[in-house]
Formats: sequence, structure tokens, C-alpha cells
Amino acid sequence: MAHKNNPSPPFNHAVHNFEACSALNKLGGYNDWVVTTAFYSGMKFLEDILFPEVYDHPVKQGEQKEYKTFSSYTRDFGRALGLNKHKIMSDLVEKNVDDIKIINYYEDLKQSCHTARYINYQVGQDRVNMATEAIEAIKNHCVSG
Amino acid sequence: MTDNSVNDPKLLDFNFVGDEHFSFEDMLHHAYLEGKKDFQKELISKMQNGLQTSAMTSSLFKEKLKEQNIEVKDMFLRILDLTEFECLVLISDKAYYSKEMRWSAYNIARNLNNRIDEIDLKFSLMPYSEYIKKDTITSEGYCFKYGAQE
Repeated sequence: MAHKNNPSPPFNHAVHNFEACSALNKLGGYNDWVVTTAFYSGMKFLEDILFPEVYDHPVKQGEQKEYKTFSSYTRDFGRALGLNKHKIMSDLVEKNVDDIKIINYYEDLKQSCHTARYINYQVGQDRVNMATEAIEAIKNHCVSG
Repeated sequence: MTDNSVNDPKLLDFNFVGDEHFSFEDMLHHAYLEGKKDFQKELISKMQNGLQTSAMTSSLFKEKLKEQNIEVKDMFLRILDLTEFECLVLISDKAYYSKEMRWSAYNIARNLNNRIDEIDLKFSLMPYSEYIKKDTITSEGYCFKYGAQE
């Protein structure tokens, strides 16, 4: 499994979710949860590489600020615009990750997880394969990067 | 009845000429109601324009997907807020599970969204399936269905 010196809380959370995803996949019968844990693992891996970082203030034009955590960023964003965290994270990934494959893999995870409820969580093997490919790619990108 | 003594605006050389039936407070109240109507009209108009742009862009997205041999089975549209809309696009299983086709669709969606300034239109893709729960989709605010007659 992925290791890091002085791992951040999001990294530890990402690894925890990744391990849950792998265990559920091996166990079988929980495809909806495989996709869900893959998505939340991917989100946390990306959160780990995106923070801390200096970003443009989401509301005050021309102002930059160092954000130590994703929560502190969403606080500034959400308070003014009421956007949800998933939307904010997607925008951050799209604007700040320079590998289009990783952006697309994250989109794969997000959409396959969020639309599962529209098929009553009857998640098939195709969707599981898509999610596991995506989370492997994101994990490798975030750990090696 | 209104008490003008509590509303004593400083208007330099201007003085209130109304009687006890027409006070500064009444004027403010009237202005508020009129302003509220105008503001509501403006909001409705902005929302309608945004919705129209979303519908047109979604149709264009469908056309562009067709050019890439990606078959759109159904589309639903919802309003997230005044300037934010989301289109749920159900495409064929075959196209969705082809990484090349799916990622090509993401790219088209990004390009279309970048071309619109006044609204943010997000496209969500999913494979068409016999398990589709349209009730769940509409219950999450997708009130507009592509090609719906009723």
C-alpha cells in the first residue's frame, strides 16, 4: 500500500478508503460500495496534493491566500456562494491538476458514484472496473507526484 | 395611522408635504413593494434566459455526441441556482464504457461550458440501463426531460 513520510489526515483517509474499496471488491456483492469508496478515496488523495496551497480567493478578485486545508478553502467559497464541496473539488481538480487523464479519472469516479442512485444502486461489473482503474491511476499519480 | 415624528429624515431644505394618511414610512413601504416586484421580474427573466441557454447548449451537446457516434438515450435538466444548471445525459452502455468515447464526451462538455459566460452548465453522464429510476431523477430536481411532450 501507498506510504508517505508524515502523511496528512486526507492522505491517511484516502488510504483507509482505498483499503476498504479493495476489501469490498474482493468480498464481492457490494459493487455500489466499491464505487463509493473508490470515489471518496480519490477525492482524499487529490485533496492531499492540492493542500496546503496558495489560491486566488474564491470571491475577492485579485486577492491570493494560503489555504492550509480544503475545509478552509470551502469556508471562504461556500459562505459567499453556497456551492457544494463536490463541485468546489471538481473545479479545483480541473484548474490545478495538470494531467488531463487524472482530471478525467476523477470525473469517472464522481459521476459513477453520484449516478448510482439513479439505477437503484444496481452497480454492474463494468462500473466497478471503471472505478477501480480510476482510483489506481489517481493513487499512483498522487503518491508518485 | 402612522407617526411621522419617528420618521424624520434629514432632507436639507426639503420638507414632507403629506398629511397623516401619507407618510415617509408609506413611501418607503411602497418603494419596497415596487422594487421587490421589479427584482422578482429580473430574477425570473434571468432564470428563464439561463434555462433557455442550458436547453440549447444541451441540444448542441447531443448533436456533438452524435457526430462522435455516441448515442444519447435521454437527457434531463435541472436548475441548481440562478446561474447554475445541470444536465444529466444518459448515453448507450457501449459508448459509456468505452473510455475513449466517454472522455471525448467530457471534453466536448468542457468546451461547450467554456463558451458560455452567463451561466455554468454541468453535464453528468451515465449509462442507460433497465434499472433507471426516473422517479429518483425527477425527485432530485430534474424537472425538464428532453423531448417530453407533457
